[in-house]
Amino acid sequence: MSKIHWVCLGTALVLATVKTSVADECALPRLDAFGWQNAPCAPSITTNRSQWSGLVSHVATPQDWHQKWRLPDTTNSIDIIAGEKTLRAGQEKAMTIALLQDVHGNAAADDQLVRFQAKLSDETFKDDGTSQNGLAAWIFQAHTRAKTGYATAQIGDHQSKRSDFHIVPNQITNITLAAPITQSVSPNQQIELVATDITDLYGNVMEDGALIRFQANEETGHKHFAQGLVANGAASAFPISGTKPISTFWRAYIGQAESTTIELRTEPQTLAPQTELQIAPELITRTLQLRAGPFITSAGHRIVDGTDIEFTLSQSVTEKISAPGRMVDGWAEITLPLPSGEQPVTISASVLGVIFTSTIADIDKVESIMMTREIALELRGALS
Amino acid sequence: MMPRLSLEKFLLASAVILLFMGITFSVSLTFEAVSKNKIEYKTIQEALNLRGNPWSMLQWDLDKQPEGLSLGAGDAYMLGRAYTEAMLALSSATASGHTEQLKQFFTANAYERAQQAAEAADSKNQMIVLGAQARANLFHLDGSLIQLSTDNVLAARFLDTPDNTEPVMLSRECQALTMFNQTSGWRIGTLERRCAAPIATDPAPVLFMPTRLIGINYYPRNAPWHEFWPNMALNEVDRDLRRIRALGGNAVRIFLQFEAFNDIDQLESSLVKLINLLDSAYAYGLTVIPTLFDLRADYRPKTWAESWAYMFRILKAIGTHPAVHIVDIKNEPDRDFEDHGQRRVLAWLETMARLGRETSPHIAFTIGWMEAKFAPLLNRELGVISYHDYEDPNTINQRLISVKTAVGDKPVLITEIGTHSWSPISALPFPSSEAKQSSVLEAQISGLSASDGYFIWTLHDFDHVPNIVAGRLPWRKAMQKHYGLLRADGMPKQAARAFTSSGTGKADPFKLPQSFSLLENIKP
Repeated sequence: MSKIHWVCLGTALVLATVKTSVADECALPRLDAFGWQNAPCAPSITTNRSQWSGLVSHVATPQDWHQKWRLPDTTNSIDIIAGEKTLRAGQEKAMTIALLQDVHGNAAADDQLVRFQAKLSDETFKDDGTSQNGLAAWIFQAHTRAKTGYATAQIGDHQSKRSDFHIVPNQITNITLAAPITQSVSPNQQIELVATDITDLYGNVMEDGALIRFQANEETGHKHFAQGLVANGAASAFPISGTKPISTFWRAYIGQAESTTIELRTEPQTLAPQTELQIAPELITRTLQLRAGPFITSAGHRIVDGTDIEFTLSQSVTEKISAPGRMVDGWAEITLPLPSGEQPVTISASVLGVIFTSTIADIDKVESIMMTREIALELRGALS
Repeated sequence: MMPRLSLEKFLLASAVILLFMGITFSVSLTFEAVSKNKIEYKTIQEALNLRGNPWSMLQWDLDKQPEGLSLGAGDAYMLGRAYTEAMLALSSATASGHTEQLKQFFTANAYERAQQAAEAADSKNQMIVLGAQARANLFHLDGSLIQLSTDNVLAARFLDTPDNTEPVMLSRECQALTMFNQTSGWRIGTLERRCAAPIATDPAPVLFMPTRLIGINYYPRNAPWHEFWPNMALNEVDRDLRRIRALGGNAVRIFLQFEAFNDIDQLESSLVKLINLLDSAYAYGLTVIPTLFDLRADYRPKTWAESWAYMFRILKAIGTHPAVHIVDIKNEPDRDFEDHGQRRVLAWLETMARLGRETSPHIAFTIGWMEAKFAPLLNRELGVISYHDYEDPNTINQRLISVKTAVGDKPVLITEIGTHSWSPISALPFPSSEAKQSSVLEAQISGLSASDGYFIWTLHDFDHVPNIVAGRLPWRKAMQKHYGLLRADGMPKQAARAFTSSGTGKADPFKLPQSFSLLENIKP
């Protein structure tokens, strides 16, 4: 039913009830939106329920109704519901609904002018609405700038509280991966990847806390991943460079946005020139326990766990025993048969193509000795 | 060798046996009396009335979309459920004075008002919302608030006082309301009554009956009562309907159990089966009297809306079917007078009859009273009067004349007559026999010659009868199984011949000559 119909119906019903006296009404059961009252003129009713707006019927007989409108008064209080609270810049619409009540708590009278306002820091947007059934609504499109703002509604001297809303960047369309200071990185070294200029279509910077993903493709086809959270418009990740002297191609992305690719070349591995070799012969079992380390890279890091190592023990050109091992915390351990005879023993350890060697004259009497890097082999490893 | 009993011992033993039989018989009678009035529930949940109400009072107009967010069917359903729950809670709170539940369904201003109204209410004077049409005017884009207008809000007032001659008043109203989507669902925040008018109480028009109805009450032989709709086999029903016509019947009275047409899981299937049955009956020239609310005896005001929803959906489905001209609102509601209160039962019947007339003006409504003495009740609201007569066939005509005199020019149908043919020993005609059944039926039909129609209970003997119908006593069940014109194996009994020879009903009893409109001939 349209507003005009309501008014016509209300007017007709008011006119139709003119002849009904107050005394009659008090004697008749009364029906409103919440049900029946058999004692409509009881004090609690006259002071309270009689103020509830809407159509009231005083029923003499099932067919003889005396109807009366209790129209709501003008607005006495105004409340506001604005939402969504978070809007995508330049895309989503927010609705602000003002809830108007008269002094008795009724939905306030229709056709009152409500002034809406949305404020975004230095900018203000305004519009007017008209109340209907105690509500007035205003729809506005989110600004293209990501900001926090608030909406209010006003009717006459009555002002609503503020209802905050937050315009957030739209879908991110731009992301830039800043190159590290050097395009070549040491092996087994932490790299800093920085994604910047993370912005939407309108240049709004991505909000803090969003996750940026970084992906590297190696020449070999292997992939590496890292991620970082946006803070102050940038996101960083700190992957560790590989140990092999190859190139990796990094890019950053979020959603559909993807940065250009940068190439990082891992330099060949270099190791510290010396490392310790601990020797523990076991005469009963005729074994020799060797423990070598720590193997340190030129950058001062211990070689990563799991790196292969091969020990070789030789007393002559023809008497050689080799056995493989793996690095743990930069150290490697192995047990070999205890060599016989009194000839000097040469022990070497091959790590990442670098060979460390030490020669021991009397293996039963030495507990620890330094192993020295073979320069030629190191060069060979660097070239491989 | 067995010792010989002395006469004293024999007499003593006989006395003990007789005493034991007497006690057993007394217990049986007591048990029978208890069984007769009890309602059987399939589940504890049903007994406690905790079953969810899947129906909604609101019929939506979704073509007109609100300002703001579009209203989809899902939201509309949730809103309808919330409105339904709120109106039921308000009705319940005004009846009981307990307002605790209102907080679940009302909020803000509307909650305060509902609470005050319920606290001040007179429990004898209740407003019950039965249904409404709704449209959304404004739906907040964030889905937190909606403003609705409801039109055609059917409201019933039940004034349950002994001196009140008009316990029911029906009105059509409209409301404006705002609902808020809160943590626990939608709640009514503001509610205002915007229009109201009493529904006219013109007397029901008299149904014009071109010919007499010669009918049979029908259930399939192996799926009677609540087993019918879940198990209905159309080919079997079709065969039975053809047989009714072959026996000379032109009408069939069927029963629509409440559960089969209210349970959301059964509803659609039951409606389809019902339409199929009507189509089949129409094809054989049979008119059908659907009997509503079968096996349902709940007249509490808080269930009226659910009752109306059940009746409304059935009337919408069959109200214009050419096989349906009369709808029986309730089978033997006078059985419930004692347990549920006559005023309340009549108020419920009157409400359903008047709303039924409003919804389906082409249908004549009747009530299948168990006793002739109640048949004139609610005469004003009914287009056809009907009752059942299992009393003395020799005085059946007197009861008919008495009813006809009381109801004026309304057609009078006796929608259940007949008797059983059961005897525990087939050679003995006690308590009955097929011959006795036939002669009683002949007498009944003969005594009802001045009626506008009669219906035999029932087409078939049944191979079983549920406890809910006849109790647990085996002889009662046995009698109830043997009321048929046909034996359970389909062979006709003597009563079938008596029925056929007493008169053949004209096919298509409501079919009128061309240029003769039934509506025009409905007498006001």
